[in-house]
Amino acid sequence: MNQAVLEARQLSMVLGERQVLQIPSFQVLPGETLVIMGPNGSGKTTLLLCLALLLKPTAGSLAYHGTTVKDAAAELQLRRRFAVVFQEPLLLDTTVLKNVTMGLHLRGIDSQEAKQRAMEWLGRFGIAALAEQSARTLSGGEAQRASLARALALQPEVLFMDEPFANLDAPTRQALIEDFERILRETKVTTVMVTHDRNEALTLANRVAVLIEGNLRQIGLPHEVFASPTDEGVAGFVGVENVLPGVVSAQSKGIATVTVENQKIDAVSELPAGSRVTVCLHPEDVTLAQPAVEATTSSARNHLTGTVIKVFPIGSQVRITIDCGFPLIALITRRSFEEMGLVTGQNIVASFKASSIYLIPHR
Amino acid sequence: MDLIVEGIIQAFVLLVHGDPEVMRVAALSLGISLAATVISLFIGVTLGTAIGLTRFYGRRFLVSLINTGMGAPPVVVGLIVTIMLWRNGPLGVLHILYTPYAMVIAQCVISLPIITGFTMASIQQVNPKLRLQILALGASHGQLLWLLLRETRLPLLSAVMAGFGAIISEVGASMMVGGNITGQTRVLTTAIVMETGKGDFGLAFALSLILMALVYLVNLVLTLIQQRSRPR
Amino acid sequence: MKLSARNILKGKVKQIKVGAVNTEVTLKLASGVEVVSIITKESAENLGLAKGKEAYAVIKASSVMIAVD
Repeated sequence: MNQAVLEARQLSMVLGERQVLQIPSFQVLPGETLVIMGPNGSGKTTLLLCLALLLKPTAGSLAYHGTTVKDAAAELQLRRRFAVVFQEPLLLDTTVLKNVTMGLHLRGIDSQEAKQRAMEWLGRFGIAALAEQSARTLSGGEAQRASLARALALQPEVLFMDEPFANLDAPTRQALIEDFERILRETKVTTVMVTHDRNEALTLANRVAVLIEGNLRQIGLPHEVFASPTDEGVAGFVGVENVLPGVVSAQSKGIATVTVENQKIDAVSELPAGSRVTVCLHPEDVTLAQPAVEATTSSARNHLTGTVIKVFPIGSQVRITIDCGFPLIALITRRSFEEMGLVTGQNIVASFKASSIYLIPHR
Repeated sequence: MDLIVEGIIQAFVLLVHGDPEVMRVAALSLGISLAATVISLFIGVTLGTAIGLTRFYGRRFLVSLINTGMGAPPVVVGLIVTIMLWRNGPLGVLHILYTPYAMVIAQCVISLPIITGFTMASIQQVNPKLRLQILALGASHGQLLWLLLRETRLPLLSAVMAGFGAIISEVGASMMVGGNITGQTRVLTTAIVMETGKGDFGLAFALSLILMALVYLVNLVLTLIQQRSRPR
Repeated sequence: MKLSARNILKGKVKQIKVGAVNTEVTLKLASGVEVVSIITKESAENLGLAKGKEAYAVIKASSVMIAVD
């Protein structure tokens, strides 16, 4: 295993009487995109700021490539190897270009190179034309692009981001996430990102950490965390999802056929055959039928036959786990459940529309 | 009405002829107030930044004192400074009462709370997360302070204007600690009070016009700096 | 009851609009109410949908939104 770029040990933060954070060990590995998730007030931003050396924990230490960070001088040197993007763009009251070169100047890069790098990154985020404008005149999306360009122009060893897309409207956000995902893929910069958005986590993360009430409840690969949460707290936060790894085996006119275990699932997607994907399906979108019902009489393209292995009532609904080569979760009303007389061990057909499937391509 | 017309004419005559006494009074006014503004700017910005950025026991009390100080009556300041500088007073050994130095001190005491208060308010207005962002860009603590002040340069210039405006037009303290001595501590405001008392309304009005012109000119320069610094 | 979906509405196909990937099918229910469905082109062909043909709209209870005036 690679040595951690950063490792926090016995990290603890107490504000007044409240224990905000208590984490025995937390590692950031080189080249990874680590997403920290958790509900509001779970301490995820506090953890990020401690790792970025912007907040002093009540107790605990931070090691950089195995060496413990001891004094203020070392902290400053280390801060100059990092970059942070916040939820708000936090631009200084000057031109966009000077905002981007500011950090480079502070790190002792000469003006010529600073300007060149700044323009390059403004270009990569599609806002080179705004370089000479006042940062105060930018729209929300443009400002956050400037903030991201400012961080990446620093060529940080670790990039920290605190809900960087949360303040943007849906189309702006989607466009920026796509650009950022591409840039992550190109630069391979080690990134630690805080978010409460599951789709962001699934799109960007190599590893996901779930923080609840200041404790690290689970850390692992995205589909591990989403598909098999270690405890109810994590499950309650990430939601129960069908998150399945698969490979596109065929593509025909906008329908991708994905092989998951030995089953084939049709999804509306342009992804070419051979793409490694994560298949996401809301349990609400799964309809169950007795095997006697002919599959072809419905417009739903996916009909998987399996065995009911688990039945779990949640309020007026029932969560049913079906083994169809992989566990598939369906959510149906309690009345349907009773009328169908479902029991564990019974054979069943699970149907869902190709358009209900959300495919996330792997980098 | 005649008095006003006469005053305006007399003001022009005095200015055009460059009456040496008037020029000296105007120059002393400007010099004392500018010196006091510069001194209280350095102390006030430092204090205001320190109080604005930190949390300590008794901070609220200190802030309330500063806010009260922003409206302190100049005569009271004059009285206190006079007592301090009085021959038997704690600073009597300096022997500066009834000199321009005493006036600079008194004016500093008046403008200091104004500049401190403005600095404090404007630095607190800056988004606290901007501090983290500046540190994250790689700033040392010194660079952080400098960038934060740069960020508040517009309200800071307003602070300078307010501080300068308060003391150049102030009369009570200048009269008390300076004494309105001809050729030594006579400034525009004290001269206006004296000429009005003597019934020489024309001269008093002329001096008033010069005072207002000075205040206007200084503020014009500061306004130009303030508005130029905003990028388009 | 063979299907877990709670709403199974019988109607006649009123209109079929074929797109690149998806087909929009409008069903007219007995009450005169119309229901619009978007299914893949291929599914529409497999089902042999045609104007005037009988079909069912199947909707899970959890997919139905309720609004009031």
